[in-house]
Amino acid sequence: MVSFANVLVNAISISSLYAIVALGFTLIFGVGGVLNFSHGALITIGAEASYLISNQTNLGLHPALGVVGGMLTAAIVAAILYLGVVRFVEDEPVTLLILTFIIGFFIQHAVRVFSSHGTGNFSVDQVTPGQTDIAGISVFNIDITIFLLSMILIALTGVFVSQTKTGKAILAVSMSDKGAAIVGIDARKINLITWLLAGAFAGIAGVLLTMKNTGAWNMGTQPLILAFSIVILGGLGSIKGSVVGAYIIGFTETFTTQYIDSSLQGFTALVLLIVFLLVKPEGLFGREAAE
Amino acid sequence: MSSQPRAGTGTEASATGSTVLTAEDVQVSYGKVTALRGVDLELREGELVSLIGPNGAGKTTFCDTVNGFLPYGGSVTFRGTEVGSVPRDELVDRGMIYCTEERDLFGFMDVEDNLRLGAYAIDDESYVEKQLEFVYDLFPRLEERTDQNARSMSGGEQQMLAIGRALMGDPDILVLDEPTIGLAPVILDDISQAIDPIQEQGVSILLTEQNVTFALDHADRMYLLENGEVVKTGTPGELRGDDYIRETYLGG
Repeated sequence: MVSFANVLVNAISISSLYAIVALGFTLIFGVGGVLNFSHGALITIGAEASYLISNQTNLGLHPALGVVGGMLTAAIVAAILYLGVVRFVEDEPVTLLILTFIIGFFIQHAVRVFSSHGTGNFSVDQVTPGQTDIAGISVFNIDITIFLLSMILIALTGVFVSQTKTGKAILAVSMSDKGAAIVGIDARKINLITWLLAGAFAGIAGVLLTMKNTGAWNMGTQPLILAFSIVILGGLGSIKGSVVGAYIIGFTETFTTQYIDSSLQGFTALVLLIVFLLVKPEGLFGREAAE
Repeated sequence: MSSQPRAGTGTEASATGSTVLTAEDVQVSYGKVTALRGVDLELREGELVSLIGPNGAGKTTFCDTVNGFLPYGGSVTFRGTEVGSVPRDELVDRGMIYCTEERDLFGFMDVEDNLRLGAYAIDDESYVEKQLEFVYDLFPRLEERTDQNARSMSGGEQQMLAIGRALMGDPDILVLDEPTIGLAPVILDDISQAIDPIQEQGVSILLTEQNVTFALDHADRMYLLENGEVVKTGTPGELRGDDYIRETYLGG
């Protein structure tokens, strides 16, 4: 029987990963108005890149290089997606929705077809293996790493957006396209930056998720669906909302599957999504709810 | 490149100054609907030119066009450069600053952040600080509300913020699209009093207005736009004496 403390640690760790996935998802939506349904595929790409870099049957390099490599690869793929596809249909939300969905689908299946693991799971050595005793509880070091890295990334994003000129330009574009244009902000440059960031976040989440559990060609689908629930819950476009939402969803999900029934995976998130859409459609920290 | 402040002394404000903006035979259509049918307009150094006309005449379309937001036929040159040939952010960088009718403020940012973003294209920090002071002197209400979010301000305060943000971009030309629309008379006075100091910075102004009295008070020259065409042009003195203007726009 797993102790309550271990379930708690697991919930924190998984919520931390959801938070950085949702953060990227909400950035792209808030700034460019794009619901990026290829976001899940970027998670798979990050994981796959780390598998190629760090798994012993492949290059077998240090897992830390897998983390960096996974992050960079997903960021680059996201940038290519923006520059090669999204930028041309920016003003057509339905086309974008379908296109990003198809591209995400295509990428995941390409990984399944062309990788050595196919439909099987794959593993990557943990960047911080082993366990540590904290107040009598044995905690996996990878969970600690996930929590700390996630917190650092979220904090850095917060500082970047609120304190730097480029960060404020990102906020400006998210609040008013025309306002941003008339002060001389090039929205395409700002969009590219958000896609790079979102790709990097999805990529590192994919690597860490693989290190925590295992990886698979379709591993991005579940986090994508959850990210969707998270950002609705937290308020579309809100950074704070996506973090708080991730913890709510992550905790509900972990505790439901642990103590009620493991077949309920994904179910509670959808219930929460429906409840919020009916009761508080602008989310916890949605812009319409501010002030 | 744009970090060099362009603010002048205002002495160049004469009707014989060089031309900063020239529109020749400008045509704009939205699909099958023609919004501008061959508009000619000239804005000279230091001038305030007002484009008046009823709702739907094409005033905002003209402003959008000279600021590079719409494809057009004919020619629009800003200090010799065809505006359609350069990216919008470069137009801003060169001092073509647009204060839209919708204001397009950053609603969830405070007054100071809005103003500082107005100087997004400016690299000269000392200019930004100096101009911020100028804007606060011009609109003391903004200085009393530096931490207030733009969206929670009154319409008049938002208009002051929109003009202030435009001024932060070190305008060579300031395009003011209907700044007085929907404002209370007391706020109208505040906006009115800001115009002279802005001109004294050496800024040439293109002002569109439905409020013909306001335009007559401030303009050096005026164009009357109706149904996408310039139907009359002249100085305020000339237009005040025009029967058609008097009857149609000044209530007889």
